[in-house]
Amino acid sequence: MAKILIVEDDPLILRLYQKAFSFEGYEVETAANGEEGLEKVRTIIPTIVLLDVMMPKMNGLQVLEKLKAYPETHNIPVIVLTNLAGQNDSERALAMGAVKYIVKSEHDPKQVVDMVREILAGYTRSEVPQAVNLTKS
Amino acid sequence: MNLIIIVLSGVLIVFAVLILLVVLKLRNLQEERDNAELKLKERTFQLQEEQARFHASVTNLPLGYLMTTVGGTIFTLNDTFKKIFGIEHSIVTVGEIDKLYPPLNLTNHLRICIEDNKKIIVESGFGQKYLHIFISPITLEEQKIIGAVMLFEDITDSVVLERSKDEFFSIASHELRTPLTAIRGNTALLKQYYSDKFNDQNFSEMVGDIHDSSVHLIQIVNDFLSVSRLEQGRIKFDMAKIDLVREIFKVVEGLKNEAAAKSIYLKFDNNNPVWVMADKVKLKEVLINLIGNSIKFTEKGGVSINIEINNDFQKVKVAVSDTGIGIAEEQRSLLFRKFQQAGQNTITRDATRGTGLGLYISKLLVEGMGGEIRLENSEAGKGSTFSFTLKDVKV
Repeated sequence: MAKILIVEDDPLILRLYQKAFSFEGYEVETAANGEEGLEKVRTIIPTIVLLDVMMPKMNGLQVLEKLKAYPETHNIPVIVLTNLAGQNDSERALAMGAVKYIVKSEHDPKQVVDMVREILAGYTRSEVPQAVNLTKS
Repeated sequence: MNLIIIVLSGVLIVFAVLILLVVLKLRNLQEERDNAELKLKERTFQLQEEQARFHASVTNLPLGYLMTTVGGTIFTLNDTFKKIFGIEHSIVTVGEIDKLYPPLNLTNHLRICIEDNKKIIVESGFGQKYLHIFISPITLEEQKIIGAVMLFEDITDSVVLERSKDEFFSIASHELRTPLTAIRGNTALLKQYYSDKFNDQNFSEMVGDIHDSSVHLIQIVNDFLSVSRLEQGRIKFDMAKIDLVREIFKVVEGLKNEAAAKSIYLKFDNNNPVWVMADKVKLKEVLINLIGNSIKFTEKGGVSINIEINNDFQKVKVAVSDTGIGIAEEQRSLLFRKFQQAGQNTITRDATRGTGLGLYISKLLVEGMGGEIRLENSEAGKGSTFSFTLKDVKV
């Protein structure tokens, strides 16, 4: 089963998604800030990363930049999960190589799980796209 | 002898008359001179008065004041100017101010004002200060420009206030949305994974109500933030050539379940693309609002969407018609105002679960794209037609 890493500083939201993914049978790992998140991606090598934007120590976009810069992590798909509804943020995250941008308050957790499932299904059918192409757009 | 006397006396008389005339003339001249002097005094006094008035006006102006020649040599400036710029010593030219605060570039603004011979308003600043600068040419008759007047308004306080207001809204909306997301998410999980444990119908209803309320609250927070940003002009419109028909189909597709749930029709027939200039995301929001409203207020019949192309005005009109409850005459004028919902007084308004901001936001969005939104017609009990325009683009 796919291994999900959730990087989120708000404990309630973290627990919420942890439950939602566990209920659907996913293996879930968590990190409470950007630094810890980056560290865990490197040690765990998850199937997919759910990344919050506003976080202490290192924000989500900085984590994303680092993940895309290293060859051992740049193929791991990253979904940016946030509550900042600005359209510019979503464009920025996608330009930096995120596969999807989800506004947390707009969806029930099950819908987020379904989106992740859809993305993972797409990735297993065809190879993971080269993130390099995405970052340079 | 007699003749001599006659001649002499004649000459004397002529002299006497001449002298008299001279004296009279002199006296006249004296009077005229006196008059002129008096007038001059009066005029000087008037000038002094005028100068005093002008001086008092300039000195007491709450704006920085500066009068300069065409070439930028300073004639007059007031204390407010010195205070705004923190200048103690005397300055002679506009160029000196530019040297102290390079981003201002007053010389350039002055040049533009003189060249175009018209009043200009510049928003500028230096350091932590924000200024409104008004520059106006001083013209003599027949367009001869002899200089310019510059007024400086220190708007730092209002800019700072505006900023903190926007920051407050951004932070507040983020801080509110996070706990609301937790409420929404957890109640959704309860409904989805623990429904078998809901033996009591009241219990399951209560969980459902908490969930629906959180969704509603999130919508309100989003609307408040949108309004605040739109009113402050902080929302950017990315205008591009887009196919209106395609966008309407997408929205209709997204809302068809809602219409189907009420057993009403949702109709839009159009096969050929119609190109307009619009911001895709904002257009979608307006369409969702208008069509969504129509579905919400219609119980029988349905909703249809039509496109009208007006070639004369290069405009495309989108009309959303429904066979719903309609809007009473007296409510129509309030439709596009903030927090207004037609037919809803403050006690009953929450029945429709709206925020009363939908049409107001749509109006700001449509106007931001250069169009107009209005209620075309409405009849209580028969339905309403709302329309908005967009700029047409020739392919």
